[in-house]
Amino acid sequence: MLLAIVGLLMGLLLGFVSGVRIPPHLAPYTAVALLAAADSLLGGLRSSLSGTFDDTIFVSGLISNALLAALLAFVGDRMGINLYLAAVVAFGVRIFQNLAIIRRMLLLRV
Amino acid sequence: MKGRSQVALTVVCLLLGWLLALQIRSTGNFATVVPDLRTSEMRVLLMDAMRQNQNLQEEVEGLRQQLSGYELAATRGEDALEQLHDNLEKARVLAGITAVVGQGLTVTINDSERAAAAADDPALFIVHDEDILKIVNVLRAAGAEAISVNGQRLLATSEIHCAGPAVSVNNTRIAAPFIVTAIGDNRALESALRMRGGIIETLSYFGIEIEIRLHERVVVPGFTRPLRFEWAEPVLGR
Repeated sequence: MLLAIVGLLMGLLLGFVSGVRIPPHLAPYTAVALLAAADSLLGGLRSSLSGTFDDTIFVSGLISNALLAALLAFVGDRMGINLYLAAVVAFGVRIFQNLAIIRRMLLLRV
Repeated sequence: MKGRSQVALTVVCLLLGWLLALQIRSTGNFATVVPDLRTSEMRVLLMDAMRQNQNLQEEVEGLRQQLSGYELAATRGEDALEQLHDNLEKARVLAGITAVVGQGLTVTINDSERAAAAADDPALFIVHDEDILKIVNVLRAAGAEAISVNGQRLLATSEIHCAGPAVSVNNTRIAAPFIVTAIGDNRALESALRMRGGIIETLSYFGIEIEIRLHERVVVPGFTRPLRFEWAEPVLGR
């Protein structure tokens, strides 16, 4: 848990220090990638609390989710429809669901 | 097993933090533009005032010399004619009816290649009369001495006006790509255009293609139509 927080802080530091800047037209992609990472993180937290955590499933889930979301954003860009919103909504709903499950687990454990 | 899951979680946390920081930084940029713009605006104003001051001083110097020239010519009759001829030539250049050459730049502006998303206003992705007007205005503010748009010399009476799918300059229809040619200190002109939060940055946001080329010698054509004042006449007796 501690390691995860350290990782988060290091990532923030890295992002602020590095000179990389996102061009405006790529912003939907980073937004979707951000949500994919947040979703995977909460999913991983949930499964590790319930004791079913498997790192292969965790990592492959993260990658496939991010790829599908990026594909949706790309196709949407070509078609002139903001398809990436589908990924944003899907991830958003899952994040809230996972959070609710984690909360229940923690409360019931205490 | 426990250790490996920790590593995977940490890596994802690292990724999350990095993306978060990037996103915050790129949205935060817009907030910092305003104060920066303010300082650069002030700098431009100061530079302009200094330049104007210098120009006025040079003008005083020039007028003094002219005065002494006239005084000298008054003593010798025939030189006065030559001086008048010189003045006429200068007046023609100032009026913009002769082609002029000198250091300068060309700005080529073309419509955006990027297709507008269905939700976006397609009008944002094409070049408008206002965009050209703004570019010309910036060039003038930065000290351009002669400007033409697609071969149309801009005079005090020239318009840059929307004419349906085209733009009207000197009552002539022109269409994209627009080529603005200006004579002046080309580095000063370029940096005025490229100023942070300036016209180029705004237009490139929508994918409008802008290319600036600096030239050591560039020709700005003269105004080719008859120049006539129907209503205005000079006020005499001053």
